[in-house]
Amino acid sequence: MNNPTMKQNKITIFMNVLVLTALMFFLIWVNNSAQAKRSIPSTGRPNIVRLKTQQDIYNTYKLNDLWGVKVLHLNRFLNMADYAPREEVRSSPYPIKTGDIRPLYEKGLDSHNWLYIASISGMVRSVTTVLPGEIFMERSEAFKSDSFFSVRGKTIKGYSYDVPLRIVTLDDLPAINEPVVVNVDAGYFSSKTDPLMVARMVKEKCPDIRMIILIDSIDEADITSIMRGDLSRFVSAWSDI
Amino acid sequence: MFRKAAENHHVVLWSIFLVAFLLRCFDISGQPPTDDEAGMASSATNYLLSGMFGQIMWYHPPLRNILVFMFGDLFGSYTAWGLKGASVLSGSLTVPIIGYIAYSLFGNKRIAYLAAFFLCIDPLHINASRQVIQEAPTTFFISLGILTAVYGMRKDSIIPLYLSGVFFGLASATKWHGLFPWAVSAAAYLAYPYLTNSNESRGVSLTRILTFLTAYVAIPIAVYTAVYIPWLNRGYSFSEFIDLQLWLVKYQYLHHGAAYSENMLPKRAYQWFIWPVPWVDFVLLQGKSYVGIAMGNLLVWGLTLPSLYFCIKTWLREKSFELGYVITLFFAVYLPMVLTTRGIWVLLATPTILFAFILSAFTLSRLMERGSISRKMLAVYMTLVVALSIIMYPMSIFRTLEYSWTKPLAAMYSPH
Repeated sequence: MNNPTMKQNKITIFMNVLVLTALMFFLIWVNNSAQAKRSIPSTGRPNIVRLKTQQDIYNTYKLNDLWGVKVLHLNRFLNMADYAPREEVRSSPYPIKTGDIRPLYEKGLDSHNWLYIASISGMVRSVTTVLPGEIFMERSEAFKSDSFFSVRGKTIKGYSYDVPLRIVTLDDLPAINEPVVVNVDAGYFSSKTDPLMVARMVKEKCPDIRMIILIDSIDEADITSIMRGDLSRFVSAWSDI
Repeated sequence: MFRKAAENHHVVLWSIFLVAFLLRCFDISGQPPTDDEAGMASSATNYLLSGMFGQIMWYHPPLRNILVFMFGDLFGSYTAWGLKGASVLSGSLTVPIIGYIAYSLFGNKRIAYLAAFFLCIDPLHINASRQVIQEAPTTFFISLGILTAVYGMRKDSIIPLYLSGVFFGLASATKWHGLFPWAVSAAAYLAYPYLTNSNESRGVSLTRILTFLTAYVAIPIAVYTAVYIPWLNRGYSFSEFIDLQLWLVKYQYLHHGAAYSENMLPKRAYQWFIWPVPWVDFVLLQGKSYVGIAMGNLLVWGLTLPSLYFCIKTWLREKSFELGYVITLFFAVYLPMVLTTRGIWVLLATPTILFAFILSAFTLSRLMERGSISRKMLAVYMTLVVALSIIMYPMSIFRTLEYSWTKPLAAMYSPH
């Protein structure tokens, strides 16, 4: 190998420092420009929307042009059932036709997979689901045997496809110090949870809520009028806090 | 004139490339897309459109999506060439590059020609180069990374070293197999003054450390990250990107293949160089069935372990950097495959055979130099190798069902 001269050495050091600096700025730019792509409702008093079914939330997200949002989801279901249209992976003669696959996913939309489809299509980038205590206990047993998830105390962590998913009870809800969209389903109040306490806890842990979506889940037979009444009390409590 | 041309290694290696290219693109339009390949076309379009990874092998880094999209764009649509162009081209180009690697390391044309020719006619590599999977591009970028690394180390020149970092970044952004040769090459560069009789002072200089950090840390990481920009543009931060990578490590570790590949196909890497190991694809399109069987040429693959033994013995005696580098690359790429507990299917052997073939070519060449094997013996061996590859070729191009001698294999691996 050639013994580099002092001058060559200096040029090499200069080049390395230049490239390292350029790459550092590149990574900072990637980080900042990616975060700037998020489309979240603007600051101020959060817009409160009341919908009939879970499935309707998807359309509300879409109408509000949401992109890359963090979601806090209070329900007794995860609404993250996997869904994949078969047409996407079916051999066909050349040339293979492709296009925006999201409408095909939307065709299979239902109340149990809408959040998965919203995640896979980019509207949602991270989900924290709050389950009622007793349902959390039931579900955590199943998650304990799933190697893809980790269960520590009253927190289940993992991913749904490429989207980070955290499942907690209200008591263990971590602070979310960034803009968040909150969904509250009437079914969450199945365990006689105090709506006032729920409103207070959510407000305390999520200081920057941009949108609240309330769902009556009229397509769920076991949601009672009492639960829907609790949902209304949650709204009143929210306004009063 | 022919003899003069044959003396020029560029002419020979690019002639072998032409053969490789013909074998990899012959009747490519007649090979129907598998379900996975159709899914990969959709993944390519949607990754660039909205950052969606798609359903097929979404857990691998997404450079495949970008390459497929680029070729689809280049050919106007996902025709056979638009869909498979990246694999065909990268697979074919790997053939002369392996020859250049061998030549630049050992300065021996015979080793270069043998290594390139083994890859040129390898039925498994042909199969991988005709499919929209990560294997051919990953192996291509690895080979370029090594070639530029060797050149950069020899000349102590930063541009080839930077390029090496770019190629290892691209290789790893196609499939994580790129990580192992990247690590070996980075370590080799750092330790080069110790490992060779270079005139440079034996201490690792600040300049070398800085070049190492730039070429083998910063550049590959930047390239790898850049490939994820469409996904990052879903609003993710850099820390969320790192979390995703950690999740993917876990996912890959726990990954299970489809029931057919888990239960019907051999899935242990230690088998690769001992007996024939197949990968099988099925397509049913417009009422016609197609079966593709990817399998190495056992006459070549079978040389690997004896050659490895020979090369290790030679290295212990000669302590040459070049041979040590190839042996280390072989172990670095192969051992993780052997030691992992999850299923490892034979298509994943493509990066490993790069080094296996160089080691075998080195061994054959040395044995010829010693007179242990004659020219005639080599000619007979090569004839048998070519004959076996010809027999296996229909399997590589999804025509297993069309030939009487390959049909029984399709029946053997039938899922029904």
